[in-house]
Order: sequence, then structure tokens, then C-alpha cells
Amino acid sequence: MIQLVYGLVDMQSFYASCEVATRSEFSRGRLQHDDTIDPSLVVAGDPEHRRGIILAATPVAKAKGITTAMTLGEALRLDRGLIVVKPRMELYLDISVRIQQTIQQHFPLHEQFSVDEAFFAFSYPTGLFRDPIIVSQALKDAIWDQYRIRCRIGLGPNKWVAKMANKAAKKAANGVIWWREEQVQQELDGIPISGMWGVKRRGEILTRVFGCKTIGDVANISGARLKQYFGNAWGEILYRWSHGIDLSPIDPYSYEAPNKGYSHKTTLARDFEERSEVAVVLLELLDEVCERVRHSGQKGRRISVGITYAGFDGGFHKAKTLGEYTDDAKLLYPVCLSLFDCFWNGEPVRAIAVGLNDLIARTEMIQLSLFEDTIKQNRLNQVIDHLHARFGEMSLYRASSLLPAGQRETRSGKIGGHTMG
Amino acid sequence: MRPLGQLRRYLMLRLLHENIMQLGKYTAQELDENHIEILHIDQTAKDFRIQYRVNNKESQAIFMRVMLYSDIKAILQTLDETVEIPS
Ligand SMILES: [Mg+2]
Repeated sequence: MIQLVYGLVDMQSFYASCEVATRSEFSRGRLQHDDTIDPSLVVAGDPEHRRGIILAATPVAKAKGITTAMTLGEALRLDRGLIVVKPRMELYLDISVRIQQTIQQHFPLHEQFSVDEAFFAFSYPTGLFRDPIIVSQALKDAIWDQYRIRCRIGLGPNKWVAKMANKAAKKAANGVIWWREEQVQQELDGIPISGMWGVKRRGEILTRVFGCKTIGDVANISGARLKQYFGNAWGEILYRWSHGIDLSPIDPYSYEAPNKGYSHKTTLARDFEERSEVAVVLLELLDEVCERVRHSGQKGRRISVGITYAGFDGGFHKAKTLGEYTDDAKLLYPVCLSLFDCFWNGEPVRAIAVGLNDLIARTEMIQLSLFEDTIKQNRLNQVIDHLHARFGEMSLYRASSLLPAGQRETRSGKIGGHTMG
Repeated sequence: MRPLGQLRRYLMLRLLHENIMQLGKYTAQELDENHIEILHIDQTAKDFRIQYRVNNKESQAIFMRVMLYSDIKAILQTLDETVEIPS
């Protein structure tokens, strides 16, 4: 029987990898299957100051105990030879856009999930996608050959399981893991609650209130009990996920009321003093907001940035309304940055929020042109029609968020501050 | 630079050019032998988008200049030093 296999592909230490891949001093002799000979390198907000924050680190740096959100001073204590570079956000976005296109060339049914992650799905078994592991490996190889960036891939019977398998693929020798339907429960049972993707603070409640240690423990709680505590929507989601069930493209956020706007806020582990550090977090938050807006089937045109200063004392919340509706982080990011630049007084930042509201449904805005080209080239019409019927057009929409128009906008805009160029 | 010095530099570059052409031919032959056919290359400021065929299967790939340059930068630097072009 033909079924769908879902995949999640995730780039390894993306920002740090972009740096290693584009600097000639490191490019010689790199090996796809051995990241231990890569340099010990971090991307940090302000290389001149030891209180700059580590934003990304290569596996070699991580092996020395260096983690993101550590200060540069702390990191240098762990590795005196550490190579420190400033973030180059425009470069990362340029690479991200192209890697997403490459993923889509391999798997036409593709959905960007973040700057360095994408979901894809394909029918199996068919003549086109014979062996899920082999076709995934081919994507991994292509990304390495074209961009000199490593990735890992999780495969499963649905998106959520693919995400979980992707985490497990960290430990797989070849970076690809496929959990078949019949083995999913067994794989999930032993995973600690902290590794249960997407539940956020609900994980703590599962531990504290229900005494759960693993996903298997959650699977032993009845759906009714979970609903009683977490409400109908989240009770149902937790029940399903713990059993490896995910009915995506029905999205965990889709139950939320439409048209109300979405925002995301994060409190930083410490004060961020550099513009370039805040810039990275702004993009991450924006990415997440856009993801949610897209999933709700809408676009928005009022973008807001909220900043709380150190000591949770003061700050600002400012918004700008654009001429057109969008859900594209690449278009909105320069606006976020300019809002920040206009109103930031230079004080250390402790919390950051990004929101997108003034939403409209975007059914009529779907553009499939890029997607259709790819279909023609790959002669995949039949497969696509099948997937299209099964998922509706929304799942195909993401392809057009990667149209070159988006890039042109970001190229002309100033991104990432002083290190751009 | 004296005229003979300039002539010397010019001949060195001609030799290099011949050498690189030779390498190019060899690489093209290798593509042939492996049934890899380049159908089209689109060049932009930031990348090459290449349409190709391997064993009758058509595909496309994107190569970014910034990564290709990082691979050949050492060669270009040596070249600059050898022919002493003032930068
Ligand atoms: Mg990643």
C-alpha cells in the first residue's frame, strides 16, 4: 500500500557552518562524515568584548563544552584557540533560501519550518522514491556537495514523529533515521519528557502533576485525564503525540482563533548588549511567528517589536504597518531591525518580543508558479496531484515563500548591522 | 617594472592559461565519460544554477559563489603573489 513518509531535515549548527563553509582558511580538507576536523569556531555578538554572547558554535567547539548563550569570556576559558566571528545575517539568509530550494528540488512537497529546517513528504513505495533512507541520503549528499553544510534527517509516518526522529538522528552514524509506523511507540516510550518536542512548559506539568518521566509515561495517561487538565485541544494533542500520532497538516496552532495575530516573546538567559545579538534573536522569533501565521492560513501586515531592558526596567513596543500582507520572514526582518534601530537607546536588552497582526486569510494569494516549474522539470505531476488532493493547497504554499522576489528584497536591505557586506 | 619583467609576467600568465584550459578539457572529458551533461548554467551575482543530466535523469543544482571562492581563494592568492599584480 502506498503511504506517505514525512521527513524533517535540519542543518547542523547552521550559522557556524555557514561561516566555516565560506572561509577559505577552513575549506581545505573538510570531510562530510567527520566534523571533528572542522575548526573550533563560534559566532558571537561582539568578538572584541568578552561579554559578547555565543550565538552559534561548531560541533568541535560544542565538544569543548561551549554552548549558545554563554559569554565569549566563558567560551574562551574553555578553548583558548577558539575562532570568533561576527554574525553575517544576510549571508545566512542567502544560504538558507538556496538550501530550501535544493530541498524542494529533491522533494517537491516541502515546507520550510525555520531558517535551517524543512519538512518534506513523499509517497512510498513508488518508482520515484524507492527507498526513504537512500533518497534522504541523496539530499544530505547534495547539500554537502553544493553548500558544504551537513544536515540530519528524521523520517516517520507524520511530521511530529519526523521531528522526533530527527533529534534521534543526531546519534545515528549516517545522520538519517527512519521510524516506521510499527516501531514509533517503542522509540518514543523511552524518550524523557524534556525531549518531547513542541509541548513547551506543558512538559514540566506532565512531570510535576502527572509524575511522567518519559513519553511512554504520558502514553499511559488516558485522553480524558489529559483533556481535563490541559483543555480539549492540548489534551488531545498530548495524547496523540505520546502515541506517535499527528494529523498534520492539521497544526497544533490551528485551533487558535483566526485573525487575532500572533506574537512570540523570549526572555534572554542574560542581558544582550550588542545589536547583532538582538538581531539574531529577532530573526528567530520572527521565524516562529511567521510559521504560525502561515499555518493559520493567513498573512499579516502589522509587524511589532517589543524590547524590555535589563532589570526588566523600561523598554518599548513599536509597530509598523506595511503596504501589503505577507507571511515571509525574509521580507519582515528588515522592518523588525529598523524598528529596533529607531527606538533602541543602547541599553542592555533582557526580553524580546515579535508580533504579526492585522491578518487576513490568504487563500486567494496562493502562487504556485515556482512550484509548477519544478513539477514540469521533474515530471512529478501525478505524485503532486495525489498529494495535492490529500493535503489541499495550503501545504504547497510554502514553496512560493521562497520565490526570488523575497531574496531581492533582503539583498537590498541592510541586515545584521555592521558585519554585512 | 622593467619591460622584460612585464613580458615575463605576461608569458607566465599565458602558460597558466594553457594549463587551466588543459585541465578544463580533462574535466569536461571526465563529465562525458560519466554521462554527466550540462544543459544550462544560469549565473547570478551570488550563485550558479545548473541544469544537468546524469544517465538521462535531469536535475538542477545551486552552487554559491561564496563557497566556491572559499575553495579557490588560496590558489588565487598564490597567483596574485606570483605575478605580483599590485592590489
Ligand atoms: Mg539546525
